[in-house]
Amino acid sequence: MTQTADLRTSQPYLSLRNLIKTYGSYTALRDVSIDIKQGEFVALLGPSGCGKTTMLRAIAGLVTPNSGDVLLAGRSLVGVPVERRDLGMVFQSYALFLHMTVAENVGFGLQMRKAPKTAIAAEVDQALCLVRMEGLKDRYPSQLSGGQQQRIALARALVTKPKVLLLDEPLAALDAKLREAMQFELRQLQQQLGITTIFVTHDQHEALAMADRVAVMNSGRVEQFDTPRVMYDEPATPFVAEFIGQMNRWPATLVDRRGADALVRSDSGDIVVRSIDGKVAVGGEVAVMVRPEKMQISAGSGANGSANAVPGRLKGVMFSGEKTFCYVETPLGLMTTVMQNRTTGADVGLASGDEVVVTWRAEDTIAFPSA
Amino acid sequence: MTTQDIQALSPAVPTSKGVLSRLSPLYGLLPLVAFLLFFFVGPLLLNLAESLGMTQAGIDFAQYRRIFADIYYLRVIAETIILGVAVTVICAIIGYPLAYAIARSSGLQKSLLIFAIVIPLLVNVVVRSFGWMVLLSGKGALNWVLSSFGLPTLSLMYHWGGVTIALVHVMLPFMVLSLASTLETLDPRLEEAAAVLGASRFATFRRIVLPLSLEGLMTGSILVFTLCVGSFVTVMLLGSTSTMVLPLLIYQQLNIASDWPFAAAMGMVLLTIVMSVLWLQARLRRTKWRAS
Amino acid sequence: MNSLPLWHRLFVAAVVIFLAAPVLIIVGVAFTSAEFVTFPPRGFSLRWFEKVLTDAQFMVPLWNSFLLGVASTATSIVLAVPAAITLVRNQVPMKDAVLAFMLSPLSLPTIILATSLLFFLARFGLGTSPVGLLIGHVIITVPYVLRTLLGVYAGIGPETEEAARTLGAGRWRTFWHVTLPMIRPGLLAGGILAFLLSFDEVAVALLLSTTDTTTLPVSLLSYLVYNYDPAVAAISTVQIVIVVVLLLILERCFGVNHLVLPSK
Repeated sequence: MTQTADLRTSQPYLSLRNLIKTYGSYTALRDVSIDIKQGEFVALLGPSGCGKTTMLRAIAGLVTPNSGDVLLAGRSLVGVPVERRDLGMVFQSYALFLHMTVAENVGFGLQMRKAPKTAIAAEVDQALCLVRMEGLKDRYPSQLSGGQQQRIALARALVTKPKVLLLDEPLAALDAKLREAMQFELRQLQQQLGITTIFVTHDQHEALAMADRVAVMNSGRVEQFDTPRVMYDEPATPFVAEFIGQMNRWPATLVDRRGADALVRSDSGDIVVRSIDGKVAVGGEVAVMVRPEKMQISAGSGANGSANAVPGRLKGVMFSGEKTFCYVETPLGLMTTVMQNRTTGADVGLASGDEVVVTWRAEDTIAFPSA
Repeated sequence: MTTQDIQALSPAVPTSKGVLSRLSPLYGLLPLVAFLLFFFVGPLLLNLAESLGMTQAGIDFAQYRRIFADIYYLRVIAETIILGVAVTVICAIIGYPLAYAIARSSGLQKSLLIFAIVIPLLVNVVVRSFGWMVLLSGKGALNWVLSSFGLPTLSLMYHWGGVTIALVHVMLPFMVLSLASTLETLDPRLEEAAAVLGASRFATFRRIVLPLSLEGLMTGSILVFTLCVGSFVTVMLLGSTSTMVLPLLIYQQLNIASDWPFAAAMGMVLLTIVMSVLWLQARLRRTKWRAS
Repeated sequence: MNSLPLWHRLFVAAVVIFLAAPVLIIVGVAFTSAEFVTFPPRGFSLRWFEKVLTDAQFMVPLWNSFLLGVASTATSIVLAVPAAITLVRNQVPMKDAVLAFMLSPLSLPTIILATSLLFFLARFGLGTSPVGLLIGHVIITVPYVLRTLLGVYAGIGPETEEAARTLGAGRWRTFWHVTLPMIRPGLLAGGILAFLLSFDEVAVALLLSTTDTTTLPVSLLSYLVYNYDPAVAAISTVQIVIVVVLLLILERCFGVNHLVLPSK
């Protein structure tokens, strides 16, 4: 028994195999393959035009891929029309039926499945309860606020108990405060229902905050598919490294490998790097990257014993509420550092023009072969 | 069959399937396209054939020779065009201020102005021409008003004057709506900017508003001209034998003289007039695009 | 409007009077009690309305016009709806050319259409049949219906229909439950427009109708050639009332402003 349970969890529920989609000379998906587990919340993240929406629409059946396969619970969806895929989808514009009441909107999917009227009414009530919109059954979509419309669209997608829930930037049209509240609520709801969910967004914070795993896409390819933490700490490609969060970046040359670490030489002395692509040969060009919040800044001009240090001159300090940003001019270029403002009234104690030194740990340093 | 033949044939199968699947979403166009091809393009081609005597044997230009050798028909063609130009120009001059007023008004005022234009547009041409008969005839409303003021009476009926007035009435709504559509999209702040820069009302109109509304003026003029050279009811009711236009002549040739080939040939002449104006419009528009 | 100079406002008033004059004068004449159209009109009576509303000479054509209008509208809608949906939602090769072709009857003088159609249909023995009349009117009305539908449908994104598909509705049920209700304003506006155009059309009806199938405009035209009495004014008033009522319906459901002017 345990064996079958293990099998079920380890086996992918939804698989995309070698999906390719072109529009004329434009390629939206270049050989995309990912496996999604049952009950997983996956975010598709990337800049506009990266193919994330095309991928979602290919799963829904609204886009026919040139080649490749979409497997749901081991069965191919190729050739299955949209209406028989049994998926729920929430559109960025919500796409509510303006000529129907809230109850008719939510009940539409059940009506199409020829459910009896009484059953539809009960299911609709339940779905509206789920999104906390019980009192609005007889309203028309035009009488609702954006946030309410969003909840109705969600209820409409959930009421048929779909195998997979597809969300195409569902929160993009909401204002910032409401969006944050909805992120949490949506995630709670998804975990409560245990529904496999795919969420398209261009907002990295939203993706990292909500998803079990994030697929970062770039020009039709999946660059990396991993948990938010791994994605952030161990980006697989320079694109992922720079797309998610911020990075200080400068060029260097690989000098030596020492087990897992490597030594690179830059315009400002040697730097110890934690991880580097095995393919880079000694003498090869690399791009070194360090996140701003991993860097320390202190007064003075010499290295203070850290593995990695670079001297510089403070160009400016920007206070932004919970954080303070410092910009330092160094031989390696402009470095940004970030400090959390943990104590009230504390100041960095530095002023523009001060001589400073920027230090960071070897394990926070990554390098990629130069493109 | 050799293997080469099979190889040559096999790629053709997916290709033809590809063409079919690419065409299948276009089935929706089929009913309308088929309808228009059969009942619109077909009759026009038959009309052309009829005018060239092709329904009997060979092609002959006898009907066209008849038209272009007779000073009477040439005069009818010329007067049809002159009438069209005159009505277009008058419509543009009196329609522009009205269109501008519509574009710059709002709410109830705008709705009322639009109703004032759309209602006559939708009242039958026969009914409207009858209205003008009542207004313009010897003992009609206009002369009653004139004589009660002690002014000399006018005889506009059965002359180009009455025909022109009634046609302007028929065509004016088309001109006003075309102009208003363009003026509507014109940002009033442009005029304010011009005024701030020291332009007078007239200078603002001539340098800003008019150039920017030329597109609407052209669309309206083409529309009015093509409709005008094709209309015959107004001329039939308000005109006389001395006010003959091409469409009315076609109708008479068909209905009274039963000279189908001749009517067909005159139809082609009328069609040519309309097509050349439309061609001119397309050309003007293309040069404008190329310039910008 | 209120910011316009006085001359401009006076001019607008004059043009509005010019536009209204022939319509108003007919309504005025229709209520005369006199035997002839005279000025100033004498007396007030409904006798001319009584005459035309009981006279088969006017009532049969009025009924014919109504039937023809309804049939032309229905046929135009049946032809235009699939074409509009295809043009908006599908990749149509040479879309501009296809659309220009479909709208081309708009620029053709109706007298040419009428004569050509007469030549054409006569070959099938349909020269003056009701079907010929219907075909002629549909050619005139279908471009208006198509244009109105395109205007409405192009403004609606495909997501709503896609949402219906993901909820389990097939193509046909999506069309029936979602697309059709969404384009209803366009259907109504285009339909009323088509009806009014058919109801007013003269050239095709003049050449393709018989005494049995004659329409109101044609019978008015032939009546006016020989008669000049307030009966015509009365039946014209009836026609004007029908048009104004339809226009008011259109205004309530769609807004005439939106129909004739671009939305800002």
